[in-house]
Amino acid sequence: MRITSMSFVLCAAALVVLYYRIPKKWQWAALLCASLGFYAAGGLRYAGYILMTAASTYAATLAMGRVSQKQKAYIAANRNTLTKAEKSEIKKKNNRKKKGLMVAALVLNFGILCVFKYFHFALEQLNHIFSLFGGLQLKDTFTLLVPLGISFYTFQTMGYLVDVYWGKVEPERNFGKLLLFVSFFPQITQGPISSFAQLAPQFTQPHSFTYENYAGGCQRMIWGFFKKMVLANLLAPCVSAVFENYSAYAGPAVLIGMFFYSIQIYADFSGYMDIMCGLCQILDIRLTENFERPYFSKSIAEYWRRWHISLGAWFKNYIYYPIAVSKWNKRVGKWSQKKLGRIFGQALPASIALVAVWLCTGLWHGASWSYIAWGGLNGLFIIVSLWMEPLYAAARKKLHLQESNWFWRAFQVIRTYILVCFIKVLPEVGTLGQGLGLWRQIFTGWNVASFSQLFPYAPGKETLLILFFAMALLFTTSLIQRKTPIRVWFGRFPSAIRALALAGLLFFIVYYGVPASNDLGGFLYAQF
Amino acid sequence: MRSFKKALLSTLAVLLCFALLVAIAVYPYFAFDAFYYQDASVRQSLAGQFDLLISGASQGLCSIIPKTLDETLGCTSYNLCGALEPMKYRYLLLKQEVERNPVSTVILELSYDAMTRTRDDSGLELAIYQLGRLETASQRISYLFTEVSPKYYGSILSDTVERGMGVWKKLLRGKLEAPPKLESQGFYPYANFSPMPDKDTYQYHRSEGCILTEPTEENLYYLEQILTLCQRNNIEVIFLAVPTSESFLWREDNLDVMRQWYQDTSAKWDCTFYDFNLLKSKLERYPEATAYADETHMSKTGAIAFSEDLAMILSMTQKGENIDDLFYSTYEEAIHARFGG
Repeated sequence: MRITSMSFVLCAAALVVLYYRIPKKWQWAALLCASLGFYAAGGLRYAGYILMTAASTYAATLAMGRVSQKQKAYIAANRNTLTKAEKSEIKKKNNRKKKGLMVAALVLNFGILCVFKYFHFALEQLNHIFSLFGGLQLKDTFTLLVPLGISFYTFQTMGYLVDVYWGKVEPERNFGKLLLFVSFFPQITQGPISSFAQLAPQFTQPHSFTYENYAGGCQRMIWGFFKKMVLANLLAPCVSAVFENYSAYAGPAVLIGMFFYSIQIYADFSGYMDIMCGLCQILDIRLTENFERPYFSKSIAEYWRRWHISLGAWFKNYIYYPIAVSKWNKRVGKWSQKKLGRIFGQALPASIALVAVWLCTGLWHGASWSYIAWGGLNGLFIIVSLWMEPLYAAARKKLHLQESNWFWRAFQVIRTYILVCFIKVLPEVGTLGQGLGLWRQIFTGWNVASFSQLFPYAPGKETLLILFFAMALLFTTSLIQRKTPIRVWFGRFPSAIRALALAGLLFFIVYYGVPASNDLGGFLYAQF
Repeated sequence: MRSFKKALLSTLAVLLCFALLVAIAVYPYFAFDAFYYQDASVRQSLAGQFDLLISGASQGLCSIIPKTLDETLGCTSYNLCGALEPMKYRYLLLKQEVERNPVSTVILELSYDAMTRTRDDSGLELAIYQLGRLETASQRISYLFTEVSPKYYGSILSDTVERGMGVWKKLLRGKLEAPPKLESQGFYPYANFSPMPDKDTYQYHRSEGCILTEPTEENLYYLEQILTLCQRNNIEVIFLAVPTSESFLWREDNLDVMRQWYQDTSAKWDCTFYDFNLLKSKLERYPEATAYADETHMSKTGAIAFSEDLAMILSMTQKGENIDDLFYSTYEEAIHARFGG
């Protein structure tokens, strides 16, 4: 079910009514039914995979919980007779058991994810290697479609599994409530990836209807629909035109197309977030924020702390920190501090962890060399910044540059935005070669004769005007949000103005967004 | 409860503002009679005069000129055809007009997919046209909630707003014109013609496609309703297939199957059937270069010639003249006669 469809809006309205009409202790069950219904609408035959993930995680976490409980009970019962060494031995043995359970569940679930996402890519690479030695070529007969949301729910659930192993959260004993955490429909297709500790307790708390939640949620949903249906979908044909045929356009047109893409993907992704976070707010549930004005970042590292925040947090918690604080990495750190000095000595172990994070991030986004290169490029910029930081600090001191200087900050923001745009398009055009080809094309044909040559792919003057209006609106709200939450700022206006503004957004959604989102194609009898 | 009341009031306020904006946007669309289907008001104003009605889909809408029939046959006719019109709505419209007009003849335009296309096939687009053809707001509301899937509501609203804004733009540029339907007794010509593929390419595309031949239950039911209605009111029914381009006839198989079905049905109901695709002078009268707007619809040039021929054939039949020699018997015969092979 598309979230920009009338069916979704009507179903969401029905869910809200039901949610606040039923006894509060069953509100979580209503959410579970809605989530399973949403998932089933996308394809019932793939429900088995999400159930398998939920069931295997449920079994593994309960088993880990039992091991921990037995350990605690045994140690408590034999507190006076056991020596310290014996207690330590018991803990080590139980930790091995828990680790075995965790690893088994991780292998099963990440294995399923890898098969669906990376089988074709892996086969392609194997065939390429075999072809170098001549002869054997493996046939690709695997034709299953990727189950809906498998990347998101696998990561979210495995995060919970690891948290139970680490003792951060207690295992959930109610399978239905765990299934709700795994399949919660606002997150299933595009995240955010929430932690169990942040999200699950909210499911079982009693929720009452409040005007503030309702108004704030509806406003956010309308803004999300505007971003997704008007801005993102109107930009989509321009971006497609550039990506499919960049060699036909002059450099400035390709550059503008690249900037359009950065806005399109932000409007699309954050628009979806706004719609789902808004709906959850109406239901008195807070989802993790996934964006924080990312294009206002002053560095690539900061950008990734503001873009797809929940994914970055997941990789930080479950890849970066475990590697960074592991024993072997600490040994590397000690060695490097002796050899390279304190600053570079600290940077090396962090860099190793970052390489792992960015390799995984690239692969998570897509199974291709261009995504791996994309991840590598992001990681490279971050690692180089880490190593060059002492040099940058010395240069700033020499040039008397204050961090708070407005021009310096503007330079950093513009520089970072341009870098981000260049990196972003690399995997989107097609192959790595095509991505590099687009980069090359940007630097050709800069002698444009007229303004229209800057937008040769634009659908029309009116659409271009609306696009600039929508982009200006997005930019303005981002500027306002630097100082004040937008809903607080908006709430200062009289209710008539607020109603008119929201009605205006709805009008734009209906007039521009619905046709742009419509995949029914043109009318056969358009003249009628 | 207070929270809920406040939420309800604020929602109503936003929806009221939205309705106001939509009303401003669509006002000229309705106020200046600039919408694409004015025939409801035209039919209402001319009710009581029609003795010949043409019922069909877009093929009939763009190829049969009522005024030409009136001049030759001495009748007062109206083209009731509509784009994508399925049998159900043809019946409902015919019933309405038969009740308020002294109708003696109904020409039932039957294209190659008139009996096999379903309302789901046409979906949103059909819903928009049908909404335009209904006479009153209550009819439109009833149709919207009983016949149209909720998944189309947003698109229908968007389409109406778009049409309204289109009229605003024309008004602001001083370019508002009455659409051709107003004075054309329902005829709606296609603007331009498109030259059809050259006959040298036909041999490469022969039998590339295949039309469906199994009439749907709903279409069968409503065809029967139409024929029963006409029988009850002593109305002569003429089955009519309007010309389509040769490239279409050459490419699609099963045309003779559908033709035979129409022939058998017309014979069963004691009706006449004319298939102008079998007209021996088709290539001369409706040249492929100018007579068609697309493969299955005639251009205005083609419609003028076809309407003259239709009027002449009907006149000859009225006088008892034999017109069998003017037509081939089957599509196979016609195609081989025209192109050999």
